[in-house]
Amino acid sequence: MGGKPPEGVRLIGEDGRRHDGRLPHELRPIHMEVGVLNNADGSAIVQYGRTRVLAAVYGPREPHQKFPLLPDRAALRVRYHMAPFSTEDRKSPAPSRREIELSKVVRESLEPIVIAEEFPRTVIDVFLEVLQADGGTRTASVTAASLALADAGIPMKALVGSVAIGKVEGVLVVDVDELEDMYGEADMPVAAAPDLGEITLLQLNGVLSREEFSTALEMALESIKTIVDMEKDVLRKTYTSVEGGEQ
Amino acid sequence: MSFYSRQLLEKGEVMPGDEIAGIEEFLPGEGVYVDEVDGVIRAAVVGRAYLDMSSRVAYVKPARKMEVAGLHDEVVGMVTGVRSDLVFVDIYGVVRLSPKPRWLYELDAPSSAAIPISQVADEYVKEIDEYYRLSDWIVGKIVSKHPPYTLTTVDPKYGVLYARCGKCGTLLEYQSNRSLKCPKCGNVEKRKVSALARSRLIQIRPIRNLVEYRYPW
Amino acid sequence: MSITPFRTPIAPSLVKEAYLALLKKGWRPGDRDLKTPRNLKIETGIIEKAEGSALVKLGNTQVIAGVKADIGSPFRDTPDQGVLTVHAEFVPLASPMFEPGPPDENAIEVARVVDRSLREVGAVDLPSLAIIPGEKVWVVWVDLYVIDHDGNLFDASMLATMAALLTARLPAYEESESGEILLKRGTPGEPIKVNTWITTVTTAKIGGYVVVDPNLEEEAISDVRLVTALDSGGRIVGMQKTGMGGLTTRDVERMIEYSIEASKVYFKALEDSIKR
Repeated sequence: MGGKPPEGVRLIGEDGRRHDGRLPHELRPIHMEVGVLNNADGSAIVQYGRTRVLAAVYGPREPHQKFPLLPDRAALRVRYHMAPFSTEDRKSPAPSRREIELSKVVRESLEPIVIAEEFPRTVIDVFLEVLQADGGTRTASVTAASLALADAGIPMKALVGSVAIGKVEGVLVVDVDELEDMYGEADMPVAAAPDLGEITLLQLNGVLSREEFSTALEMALESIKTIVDMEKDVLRKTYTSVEGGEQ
Repeated sequence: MSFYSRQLLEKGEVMPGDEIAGIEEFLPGEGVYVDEVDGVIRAAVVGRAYLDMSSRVAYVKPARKMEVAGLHDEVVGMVTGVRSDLVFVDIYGVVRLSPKPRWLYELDAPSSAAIPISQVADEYVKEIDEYYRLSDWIVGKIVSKHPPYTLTTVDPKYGVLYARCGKCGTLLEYQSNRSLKCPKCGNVEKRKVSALARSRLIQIRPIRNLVEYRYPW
Repeated sequence: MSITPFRTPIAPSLVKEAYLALLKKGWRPGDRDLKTPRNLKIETGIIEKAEGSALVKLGNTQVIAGVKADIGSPFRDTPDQGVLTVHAEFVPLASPMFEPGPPDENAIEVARVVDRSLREVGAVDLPSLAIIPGEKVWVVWVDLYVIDHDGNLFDASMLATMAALLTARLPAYEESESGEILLKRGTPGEPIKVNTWITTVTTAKIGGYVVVDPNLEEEAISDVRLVTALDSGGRIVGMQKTGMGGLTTRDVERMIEYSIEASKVYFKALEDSIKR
């Protein structure tokens, strides 16, 4: 973070628009689809601009590799992983420290909403593959995981959505992309379940004043509400078209 | 939950987190949970919400049912071990026996289960290996809530579906509800045979679990 | 180290008996005869950040190939040639049987069969990937990503590799005065020169029958499979027997005959995907 953007690139232009033409509060074009994989119990693909994440859910099931299972609830196992071709320079497929941390952060963003108590001594697997990384891969991952869990029919307290707020040339902006993340002053990913008013992921990388933080959080929650509404639309469309006129 | 009941009120399509009813008016049924914070019943799955006005139950009929095994499910599995008081089974799939027997779906991974000697058959069982043997494919019913599951095979429709001859490995054929016969070597083996074994209507198709397991290295 | 894989002991043979009855009539599930591959769809350019990419859907099997290029040093024994590496990941979202972890023997086998099929006939023109011979060459990575496994990962992987290579554009670059190469990622430069189009066709032997493009269930009940790499002229450019059974000369002859026929379907699909 910090440093100067490449020549000719203005993070915030004269007209207040960002380098890709968005206004500060605007999300990138978001695309969501569920049920994209045949083998998985639930699956989804989510795109935030050029960032593209594929999610698959398996379970509740007994794991092949035996590991200690919980007597009172299902264990959640989350893997966040980047495809080697997802980045500018090829990424080694071996899990990095960053991917290990993000797997944990994403898992903990899902723990409060999955009703795991119904399935003791089983595991619910959430596999996330970043197919293309252009900023906001963890936030797109949380959104994709939420959709895939719903698609798998796993009981959840609510849907979650996620977005990152950035500070770029002193301006708070919604849904930072890679360039803004690289040259901005702050990056704050947030995940939340708007229906419950619960924040399930909160990280801050960079510096914000007390006031800026409050504004940023408010912006995040507002955008997350939009994202979760989109999730609901996609689920509704998918199921009504499959189900037809039920009963 | 009769559809024709006038007591049933449809609340439309719901998403996880949607409010369905107040906790002081209704009891939580399937597919919902109680939000302790504000005392409401919310949907836990995508589906259609209903209020049963006679039993005062709020529930959600899921748009997509999870393909897992659970209480009261009829399942097909393979015997993985026989002890003097217990038969160990790996459950591979869920079946439906009536009206027409058929394989419903395969589980993601085999689920552990056991048949206690008291649940093997509707009689006094002395020698358990005159009922089940290693690698038999059986059909039974889950009678416990969580894994490892307890199975019952007391009912005549439950028991061995497919078994191999202990001498030559050929698939055994139905002889009676207590015995199977080898069409090749004539060997007769004792089993608790399912009434459905003869028809062979339940085709076992655990496709995903046919694949070679990966070794964890 | 490689160990006999664990299989559920009785189920494959039960499924197989039902299957053989159908094969006897010359059909398989999904209204396919023995020689016809499943429905094949190839999309290219699906990952903008990769130099080349393709998504192949072969029935329910889905494989993504991504081509990335970087500048590196040549191998000492081939100083005038670029470097091509094929790597395959069977990620756990593709199948309930895949566990997280480094590639196992099956993933490594797929990557190496694809690699050899390209290498032995010089399908990719490696000399043209040299920038400053002996010093700086293109290092090209083909990364295969299996995202949905319903059998025949070999053919899906090979097709994805080919489609991604054929549509790939190396990044444009500039040579500085000090002789340094500066990549301009995002600006497409030269395509990767492909001399020969290659495909593999997998056939499986089930009982006495040979089937083309086996799905997962067919692979599981098959005795053995043969992966035949072919060029568009019907020349055999590589082979791999895989699975635990054996083959007779007659089996092999028939498998090759079926493979050559099926390769035409694959090449046609490849051609169509490139045109778009």
